[in-house]
Amino acid sequence: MSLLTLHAVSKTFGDFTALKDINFVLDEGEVVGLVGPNGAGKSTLLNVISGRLKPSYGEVRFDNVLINGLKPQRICRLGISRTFQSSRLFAGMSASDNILAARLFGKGCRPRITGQDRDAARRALAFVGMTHKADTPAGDLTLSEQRRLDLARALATRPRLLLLDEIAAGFSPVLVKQAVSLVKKVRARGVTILIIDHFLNLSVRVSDRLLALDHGEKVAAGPPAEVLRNPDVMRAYLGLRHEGPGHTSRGKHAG
Amino acid sequence: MTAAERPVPYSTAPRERRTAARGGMLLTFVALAALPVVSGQNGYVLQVYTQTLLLASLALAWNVLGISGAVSLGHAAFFGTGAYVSALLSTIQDLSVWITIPLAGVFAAALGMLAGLICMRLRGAYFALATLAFVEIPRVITTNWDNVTQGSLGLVGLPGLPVLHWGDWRLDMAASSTAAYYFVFAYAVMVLCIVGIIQRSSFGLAFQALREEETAALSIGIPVSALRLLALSASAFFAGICGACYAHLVRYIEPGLVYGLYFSAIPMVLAICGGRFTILGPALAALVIYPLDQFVFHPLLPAGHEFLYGLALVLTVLFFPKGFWGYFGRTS
Ligand SMILES: Nc1ncnc2c1ncn2[C@@H]1O[C@H](COP(=O)(O)OP(=O)(O)OP(=O)(O)O)[C@@H](O)[C@H]1O
Ligand SMILES: [Mg+2]
Repeated sequence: MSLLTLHAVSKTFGDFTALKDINFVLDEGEVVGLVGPNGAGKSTLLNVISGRLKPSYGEVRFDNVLINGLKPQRICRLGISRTFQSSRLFAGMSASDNILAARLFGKGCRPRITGQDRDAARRALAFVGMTHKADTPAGDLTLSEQRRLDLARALATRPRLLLLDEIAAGFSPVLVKQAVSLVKKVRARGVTILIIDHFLNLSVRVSDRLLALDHGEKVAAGPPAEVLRNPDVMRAYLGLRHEGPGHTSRGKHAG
Repeated sequence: MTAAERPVPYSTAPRERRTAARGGMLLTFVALAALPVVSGQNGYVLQVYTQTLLLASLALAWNVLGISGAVSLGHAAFFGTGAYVSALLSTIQDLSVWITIPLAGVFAAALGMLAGLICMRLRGAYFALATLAFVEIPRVITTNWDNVTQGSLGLVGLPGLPVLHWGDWRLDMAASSTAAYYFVFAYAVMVLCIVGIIQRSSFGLAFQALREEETAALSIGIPVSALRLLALSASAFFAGICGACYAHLVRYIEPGLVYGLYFSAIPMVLAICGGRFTILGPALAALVIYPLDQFVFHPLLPAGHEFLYGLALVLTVLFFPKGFWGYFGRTS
C-alpha cells in the first residue's frame, strides 16, 4: 500500500530549479535511499515532504491526504518526522528533555509530564544506546551521539514515515555499521524510512530501493544494484557532463 | 570528522551552590512575610517594599514572554492600559476594584494579542523594536481621548485598594499600608507560582525548545506561533494587573508615567539581571535592586539614581551572562 506519493513535484528558488517534476511512490514498510551528488536536491525534497518548504508545483500525498502547504507541525502530527543534515538539536536541553519535548508535542499538546513520559524517554535513549547520556546537554554530545539523539527525537513523535538526512555522513566504518543496525531496528518497528545518503555508505545496505536525483531530476529508481549500475547515476557521481543519446536536459547549477 | 569524546560539563550549577540557593530562597520568603512586623510598620519602608514587590510581579509577568526567548521593550503598553482600564471602570462605571483589577488584565491581554498579531513574525531585535513602537498606540489613544481620560492631565483621586471582608472582620487595604503590602505580596507569589507551573509543565520544555531551535521545534510538532501568541497575551494579562494595582496604590496616574519608558525598561532590566530563563530570578533582582535604589542611591544621587539600573545590566551581561539566579542553577 502506498504511504507517500509525490506527483510532479517541482521546486524553484527564483529562476533556479532545485526539483523538477519528481514522481515517486513510497510503500508502507519500505526503506528507500535517496541518493545523488551534492546539490542534487535531496534535502530540498525532504524539506518539501516535511513542510519546511512549499512545492512550487505538484502534489505530495501522505496516506492519501494532500499535505503540501501544511505547516511542519501539522505534518508531524499526521505522522511524518525527520532529522536534520546539520545539527538542530536543542543544544541547551539535556538529551532526555530533547526526546521528552518531541514525545509531548509530536501528537498534539499534553501539558502534564508524567512518570510514563520520563520512562519512555529513557527507553528511547536506550534504543539508540545513550542511556548514560540522559542528563548531558545535547550541545555537549559527540557528532555520532548527536545524530543518534536526532533520530531518537524524531522517533519520539511516533511517526509512520521517518525522513533521515545524511545520518551517517562522515562516519567511520564502525559507526556506519552501528547506523546500519540502528536503521534496521527502526524498520523492524514497522516505520517506513526515506534515507538521504550522498555517500552511499548506509542506504545500499539497508534500502529496498534507491531513488537517484541529479540536478533536481529523477535519474533512476529501483533496486540498489540496478540503480548503481545505471549509466546516468554513474555519470552524475563521477561528474561527467557529456551529452549522450537519451540524456535528459539539465538545469544550470547554482553556485 | 570524528568528534572526540569530551568530558561532560553539566550546565546545572554544583550541588552546594544549588543548596545555598534553596536556603536563601526560604530565608527571603520568611523575611518578606515578617517585614511589616520587623520594620515596626514603618510607613516609608513598607511603601518601598510594596513598590518592590509590584516591580517584582511586573518583572515576573514580563518573563512569561521572556522564557520564549522574546525581549519586549514595550510592556508599559500593558501596564499603562491595565492602570487606565481599572481606573476608568472604577471611577466612571463605579465598579468594585475587585472586578476592575481582573478586567484590566483581560483588556491588557487583548492588547497583547493584538501586539502579537502585528509583531510575531519578527524575531530578536526586530521584535523588541516593534514592541517599543507599539507602546505609542495605547499612549496616543489615552492622551487624546480627553473627555474620558482627561488626556495628559491624568486621573487623580482614584479609589484605593479594596476592603477585605470576612464575616465581621474587615481590612481596609486603602488605609493600612501593611495590608496593601500583603496584597501585593500575595499577587507576586501568585504570579511566581504560575510561572513555576508553566516552566515545569511541557510548555516549559516547548518554550526552551522554540527559543533554542525553532525549525526543529516545528518539526517535532510544537505549535510555535500559537505558543508565542499565548505567552505574549498571558504576559500582558499579568502586567495589566500590575498596572491596575499601581493605579489603586498610588491613586494618581498620567499617560507620561504609566506608558513611560520606565515601566518598559524596568521589567526587562530586572528579568535579565535576575536570569531570563529562570523562574525566580526576575523577582529576586527586584528585591535587590529597587531597595538599593531607594535606600542608597536615591539619597546619594537624587538626580541620577537611575544609573544603577544601567550599571546592574552592564555588570550582569559581563559577569553573569545567564543572570544572577542562572548562576545558581538552571531553572529553579
Ligand atoms: N533556500 C534556498 N534558496 C536558494 N537555493 C537553494 C535553497 N535551498 C537549496 N538551494 C539550492 O538547491 C540545490 C539543491 O540543494 P539541496 O540542499 O537540496 O542539495 P542536496 O542534494 O541535499 O545536497 P547535499 O549533499 O550538499 O546536502 C542547491 O544547488 C542549493 O544551492
Ligand atoms: Mg542535503
